Amino acid sequence: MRDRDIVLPLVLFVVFGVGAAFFLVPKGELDQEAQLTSLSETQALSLLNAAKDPLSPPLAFRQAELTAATGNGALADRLLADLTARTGPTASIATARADLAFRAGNLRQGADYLAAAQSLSPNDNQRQKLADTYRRLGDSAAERTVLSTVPLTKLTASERIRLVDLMAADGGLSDALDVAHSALLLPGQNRSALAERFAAIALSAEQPDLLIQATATVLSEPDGPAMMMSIAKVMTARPRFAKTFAAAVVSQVPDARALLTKAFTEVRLYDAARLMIQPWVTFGSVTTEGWEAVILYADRSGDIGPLKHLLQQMPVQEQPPKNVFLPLIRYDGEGALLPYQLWLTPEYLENAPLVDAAWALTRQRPDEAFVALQRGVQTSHDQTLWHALARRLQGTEYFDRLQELAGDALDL
Amino acid sequence: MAYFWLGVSLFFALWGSPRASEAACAGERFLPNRVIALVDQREETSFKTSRIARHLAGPLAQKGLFPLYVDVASPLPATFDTAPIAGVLSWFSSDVPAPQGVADWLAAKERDCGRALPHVAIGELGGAPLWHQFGVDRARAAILHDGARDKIETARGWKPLDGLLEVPPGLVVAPVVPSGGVPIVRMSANDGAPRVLGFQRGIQTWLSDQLLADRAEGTAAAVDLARVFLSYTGTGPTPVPDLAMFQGRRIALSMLLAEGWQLRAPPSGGASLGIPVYAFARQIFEAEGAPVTFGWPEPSFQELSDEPGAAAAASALKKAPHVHSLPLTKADGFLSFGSPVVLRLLSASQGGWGAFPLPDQVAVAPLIGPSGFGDPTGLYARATAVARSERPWPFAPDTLVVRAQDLLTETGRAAVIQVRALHASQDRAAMSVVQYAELLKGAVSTQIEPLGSHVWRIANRGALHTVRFDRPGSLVLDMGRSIGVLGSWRLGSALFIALDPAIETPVIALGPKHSITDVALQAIELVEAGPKLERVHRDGCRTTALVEGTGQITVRAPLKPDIRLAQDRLPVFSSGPNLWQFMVPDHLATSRELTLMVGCP
Repeated sequence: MRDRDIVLPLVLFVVFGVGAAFFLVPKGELDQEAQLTSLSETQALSLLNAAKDPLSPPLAFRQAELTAATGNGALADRLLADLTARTGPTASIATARADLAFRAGNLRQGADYLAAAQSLSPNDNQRQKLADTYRRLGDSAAERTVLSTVPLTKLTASERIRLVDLMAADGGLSDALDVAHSALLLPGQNRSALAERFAAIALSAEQPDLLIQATATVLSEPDGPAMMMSIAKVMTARPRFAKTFAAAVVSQVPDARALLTKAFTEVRLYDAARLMIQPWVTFGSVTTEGWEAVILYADRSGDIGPLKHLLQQMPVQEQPPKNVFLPLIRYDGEGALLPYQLWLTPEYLENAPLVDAAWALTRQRPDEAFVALQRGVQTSHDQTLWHALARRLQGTEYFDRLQELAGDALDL
Repeated sequence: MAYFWLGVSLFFALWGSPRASEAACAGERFLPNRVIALVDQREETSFKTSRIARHLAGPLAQKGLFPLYVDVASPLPATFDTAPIAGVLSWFSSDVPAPQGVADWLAAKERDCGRALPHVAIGELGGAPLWHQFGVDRARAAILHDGARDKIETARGWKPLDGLLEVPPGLVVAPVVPSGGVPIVRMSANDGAPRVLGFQRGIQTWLSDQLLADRAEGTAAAVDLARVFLSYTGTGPTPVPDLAMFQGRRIALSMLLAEGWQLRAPPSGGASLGIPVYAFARQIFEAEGAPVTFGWPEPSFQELSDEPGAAAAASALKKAPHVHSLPLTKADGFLSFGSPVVLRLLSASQGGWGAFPLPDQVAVAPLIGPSGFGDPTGLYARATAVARSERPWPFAPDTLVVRAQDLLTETGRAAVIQVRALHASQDRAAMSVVQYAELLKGAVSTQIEPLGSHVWRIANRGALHTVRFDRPGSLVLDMGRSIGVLGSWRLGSALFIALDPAIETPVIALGPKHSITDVALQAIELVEAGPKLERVHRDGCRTTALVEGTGQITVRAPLKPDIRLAQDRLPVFSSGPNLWQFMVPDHLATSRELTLMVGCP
């Protein structure tokens, strides 16, 4: 009897409780979405699939995403197609369908959807992906269109380069030159690659003045030396123009003399480099960077005349520039040091092991030369000169020891 | 004194290895399969990441060729202990330190071999003497290119299927085609000279590095590399070690990396802390299935794991019979299994060139796809990469690499389960990375000896059991004249041959498609098999073999065969013209005798 007393209220409590809960369940999309997030993906998908009424667009989108997550990309795409029929095209649907197309290995269709998404809601990453897809498809016309619809300033550095390449590939030399020129004047990464293209197009289009003008403008920027190297490299195909170019640029940017000397020396356009050096030879007053340029020129070209001349002009109380004697030793032998012995103080020689060795050889002191060369193994990167000096000890015990020191890598 | 000891040591060196002096081209009776790969280590410090390794070692391995790397910035080696040499491959960006030395050294190698060595050179040749050997005046080769597409033209038959040729504006090395040279890619320049970006001149091939451009998704070659490498192999049909198939099925590799082992899924009803990744990993990979290699970081899992559950899950997983656990190490930016290294993992590939396995490095590339809508891990999109590495025939194993953290999402887990199911199915021959590493080593050690017209003996192949003919024409496998061969199958234009794992030196004979004779009537040939078959023995109409494992087998026979496993007769179904299928049921015994009878009276 007592049991029954308890059962009835309990039953009532349960009935009311469940009823209340039912009554309290909020209706509408919001709670359905909230409910979905608390379920596992599989449960959420079966709930959405079981819905009798058409799902709201956000839920239908979620249904497609969950379907894609089970591995059924084709069905997911159909759901998205149905959704598009109801809502009209949207960027998020197009992006999703592009992903599904890529997943199925259908590049062309993916590109089409991505292009639709880009026209509905443009963004940088999407544009890059679209352009890259066209590139993989080999559709350079479409790729060029994608890159051309955006102002040059908005493109990434590599996109700008790519646009120049595409225009040049189509044979539109003057368009490509305009774009390359504008792009070169914008800050950005990898401008040396752009500079090579610009120089090549400008020279092909017979527009040397534009090249001179642009070079003079960008030369003093932090990546100026790298850009100058690219331009000098291209200039090797028009060696006769190099001197005109160098003279014109340096007349606008006199401070660039050393930089131009170095760049032309590196690409072995020695005539142009020699032209750059001449004012120093004539008027003196060489800067530190100028010395570096003259030394590099002498060392690479073997034309050590200007270097000797400048050294002779130099007051004895001044410190000789770093590495200044190396070209002299290389081309004239260690005896070339004799006129400069006032500079060869112990302090100087301490930091210049190759000069130290050469000077010791000049003074017939193989023991000191050996010690200096031993020191030079660790510090010197000028292996050719090191070898040349080491070979002067041939026939002595020192030579054998240096050979051991040099190991396999230095085949004496 | 020093000379005395030098003499003594030289004597002992020569006496100790009498073959040293003849080593460069020793073993000439075998098909040459080594290519001297010249690298300037001042430009590229590691052979393993050099441009040759990244872009050409895979396509070379496709042709059964393996690089022997040589640094031209160091003293050149006097001899090689591995041979024979098929040719030379170089790729430089500037002059080498001693170009004449390299030229002399190559000439010495040719003298050793008694024949000229085909040389494929990419980009710079390394200096004037080497250019001169190719008949090119390098000093006049660099020209200005304005970037126009229509100035470049690839010769007929040299275009690859999906290659794109674009050369950006700039300074381009485009020499005038040397006398006797045949252009591969022509380039017109303002000077009107017949310039090229690639040419062939006898056994010399030069290609501009502009033809092999680096791209985000790997290299795109603007010329057909397979044709370029014909200069090493010749044009006739020759067998090459196959790296992707085993007994008719594409090889599948599954690897689980412990990365993110202790992460947890978002909290849900049942688990207020969120279910940890290791629980999912155990659930998915502990269940019986295709072999999986579990890579855990060195020094040991227990030490790294401060959670008892994580360590316990790892050791439980390691105990499963199909799970092989190996420590995971990282060197040169590459992940490797085992210490010492068993197998290296290359950069992931979406199915292009980067998917080629590299037998000389014992390395394989994971196949992946980009992440996207409803596929955050890219594991579904991976199927596209798998398909892309299947044309014109599978050239890489179906390599699945799962990071434990990929299992965090339901999507990731579902995708992995699907791949695992495929790997266990009749479309795949799943193996452990240890087995596959042995296969790769076998491919490198394989020696193929021509025994006459269309007959070859295969030796020293280790664990390699499939060879392939890329250009068999109308030739087919001649079972009657072959020894130790299980059977053959065709995919696209290629003919694959399955070798009997129990026979050390099988002989492969190809012949024209034969007419129906008595021998042919009784011939039975394997097409594909899940279980491993070996010790095949033919006696008239009866063929016996030892079978290991369970699953489907397909054979080719002119008549329906009668098939028995031990004493039990197996039901046989037709699965195409002359194709017959049967199932080897599960059994406790490790290997059983299978008897196949065709046309027995």
